[in-house]
Amino acid sequence: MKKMPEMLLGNRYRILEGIGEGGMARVYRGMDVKLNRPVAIKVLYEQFAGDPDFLRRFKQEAKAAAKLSHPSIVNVYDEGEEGNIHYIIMEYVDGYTLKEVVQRNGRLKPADAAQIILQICDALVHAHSQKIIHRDIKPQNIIITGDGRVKVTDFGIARATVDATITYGKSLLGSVHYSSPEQARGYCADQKSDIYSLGVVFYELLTGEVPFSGESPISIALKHLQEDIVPPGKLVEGLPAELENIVMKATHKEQNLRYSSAAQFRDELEEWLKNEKDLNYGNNSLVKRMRSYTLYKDRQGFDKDPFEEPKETMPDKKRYLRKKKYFSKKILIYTGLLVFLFTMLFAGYKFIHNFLHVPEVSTPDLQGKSLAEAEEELESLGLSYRIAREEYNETVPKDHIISQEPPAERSVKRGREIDLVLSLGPDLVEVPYLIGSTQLEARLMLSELGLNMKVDREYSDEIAPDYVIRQDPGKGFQLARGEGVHVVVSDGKRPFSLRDFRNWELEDVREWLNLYELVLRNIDEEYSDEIPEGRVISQFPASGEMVQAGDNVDLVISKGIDPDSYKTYTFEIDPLVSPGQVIKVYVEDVEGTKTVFEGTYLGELITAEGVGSGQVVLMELRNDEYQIIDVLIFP
Amino acid sequence: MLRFTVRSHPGCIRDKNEDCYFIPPEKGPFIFAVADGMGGHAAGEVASSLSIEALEKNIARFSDKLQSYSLNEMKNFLKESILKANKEIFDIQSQSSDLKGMGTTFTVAVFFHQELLIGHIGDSQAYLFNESGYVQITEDHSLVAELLKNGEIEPDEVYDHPQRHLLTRALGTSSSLNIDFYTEGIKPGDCILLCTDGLTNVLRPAEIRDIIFEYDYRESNNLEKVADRLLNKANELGGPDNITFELICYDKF
Repeated sequence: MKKMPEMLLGNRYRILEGIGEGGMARVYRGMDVKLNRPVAIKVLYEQFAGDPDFLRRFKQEAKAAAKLSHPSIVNVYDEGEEGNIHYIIMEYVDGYTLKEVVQRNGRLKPADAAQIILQICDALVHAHSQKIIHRDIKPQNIIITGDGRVKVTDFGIARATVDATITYGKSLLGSVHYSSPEQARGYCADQKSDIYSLGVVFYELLTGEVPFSGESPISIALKHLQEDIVPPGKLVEGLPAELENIVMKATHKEQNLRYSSAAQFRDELEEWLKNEKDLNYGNNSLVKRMRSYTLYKDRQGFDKDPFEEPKETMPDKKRYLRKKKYFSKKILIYTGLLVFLFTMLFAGYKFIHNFLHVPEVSTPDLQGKSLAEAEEELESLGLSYRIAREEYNETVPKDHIISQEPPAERSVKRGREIDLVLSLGPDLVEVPYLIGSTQLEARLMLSELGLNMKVDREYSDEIAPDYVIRQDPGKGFQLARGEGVHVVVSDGKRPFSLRDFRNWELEDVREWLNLYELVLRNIDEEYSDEIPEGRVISQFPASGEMVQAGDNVDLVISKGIDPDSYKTYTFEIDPLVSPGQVIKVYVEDVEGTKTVFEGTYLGELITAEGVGSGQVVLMELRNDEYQIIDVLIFP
Repeated sequence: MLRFTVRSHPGCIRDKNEDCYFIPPEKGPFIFAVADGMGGHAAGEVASSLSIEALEKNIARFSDKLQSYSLNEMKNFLKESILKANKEIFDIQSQSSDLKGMGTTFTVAVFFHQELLIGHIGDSQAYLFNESGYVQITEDHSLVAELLKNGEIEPDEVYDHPQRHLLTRALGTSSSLNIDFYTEGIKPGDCILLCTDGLTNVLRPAEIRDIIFEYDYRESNNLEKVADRLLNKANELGGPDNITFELICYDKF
């Protein structure tokens, strides 16, 4: 991170430390010394600062965004320039981006996901009412603060950059996981485009995956245009159908068939959440649960078990309500008197009767019933109970009866105490964070908790082999012992076919291996008749074999021809010249040049020896100069 | 026999030329390349010149072997040169945040006996012109080209598309790289054009062909006239971008 000079921007903003880099600006934590509050300072990259068109557009967008004021939108306070430094001053928000939350935790619980999307809808409703389109809704632009609030940032900024690149030049097609079909096709983004993108974000929160993934941004962009989204319910068992409908409606390819406004989107979510809250969540706040998602890094000081269900308090309440409903005050008084009379009469009778005879009753079947139901039933039979013990059970829900002693349909004396075994519900354990651990570490962590692991492997350019790339469900989910966590483990980089190094210089091979991130392990040397010294004779793995980055390669390098393997060739040479001529015969072979005969030829055969390979040259002296008259090449 | 000429000009709007090119060294081999840098500030210039330098270095290194290469070996050679360039450009970005996000297009052509071998990344282009017409040999790695190919937009929409600057592939933008290769048979009378999009964004291929034939490129001195005319025409039409192109005529051998 580049250090910024110690200075006050606009006489009031002090830069403290770099906290991130975006597509067009560096972000710093800073201080507004005038108001004495922390701020985030976005400093435009110099490359943009030289482009007046871009600056104009950028300021325009910053001013528009500054008009927005909403608890779920990161406030833009100010914008300005200091020399060549162009900056935006924004609300300082401490937290995690939604992307980080999903990457670390996997999918969220439906109600939590809905709560988050609801808040973003609120932000969009506000922005759209001011005619500001975000254009780049994605989890990276959504921040979850430490206290569980949702903040959307970078409103309208996308537009400035798009326009800038037109005047400025090429850029690489970036992430399009969240772009609407109309944006992918190059048309203008409108409110419906933000709704689509938010629908995709919702999809990701619910399933832990984006609806379209692919090798390249372009393949993803085309899928947004052409392919149907796999309904999230197909990926996540038990996903509420209402939520699936909401996602599918928001992400409809036809703009006209999406929600007509962020408000409509919001209303449907709210409706579902209202019912859902009654059913499951009670007053357990999103804030508390979001902490468990986002702040796992630093969990000390936070509630250890934020997923714990609220305590069961319903039975008392229910009984009270029922009475209140059916009895008016008057009736209550008369009835009370009547009951009193009868009770007195009955008690007198009872007293005498019990004295003489204790009646027997048949024990009821309490298995699977809730404690409250059991209590009622036992009471009506004049039996009492004792909770013998509580234990975990996979099938019987929490606070329901697993078994009883004596069992059902036994005759017992009235007043007898029945022993009950009460369920604590399934033995839930919290799924740990496995991403970034090795497969072995992950297995150990899970087996410690009594969870199983299902492993799939896939190639990854980023994650080293045997490390966990992703997991499902994510950290914080509660599973019963014996249930499984699905992890995807890296199989290393995509394999490719090894090329043929035969006859290559060692240095060239080294460079090639370096380029493809292969490791040169052993180099052996051998003699070779065919491959010149210093070049590759053979390799392991063979050419064409599939290899991966990090694999070893062994080479055999030529030492040239084996001196011991040289054959000696003997030639009997008849020079076919007239005796009396001056001739010269020499041999060139691997040992060098040797003159075999030089002088006047007398008609005899000349014997020459050559080693390995080379030639025998016969020369004749003509006009005081030797001229070659024959050459014999061997072998 | 090959005759060639090259032009590289910043155009009328920009003050810097971020394009780069390569022409064959005196003793061959017949390798040509153009590169169009991207990334702000000086980064585009850095990326395109790094790519050309990497090619140059690799040619120097293997100069004694290149002559004896088979077509397949030549292809491997190009691939490795491009991968080296990619690695170099990608690695250097981690050293300076000013260079972050830089990259370059890269289109390289080797004349190999009667074959033309082309390696290609990005939206620079290689065209073949001759008497019977013209053909764009390379496929642009751009969003617009993909949309067109998939029938999402009409051919007319290409030139004014708001996102025509978006590339789907470039050299130096990621650690892994997918290179397109093309092999074309060529015959005497063929003229190859390697160019950056500064030329083709203002001149349609048919207009380029008209200029090439207007000055009859087959006459030995006319190639220069064709090149001058193409450059002037592009600048007359506004010259919104850097313009770089190489014209290579294959006469006979």
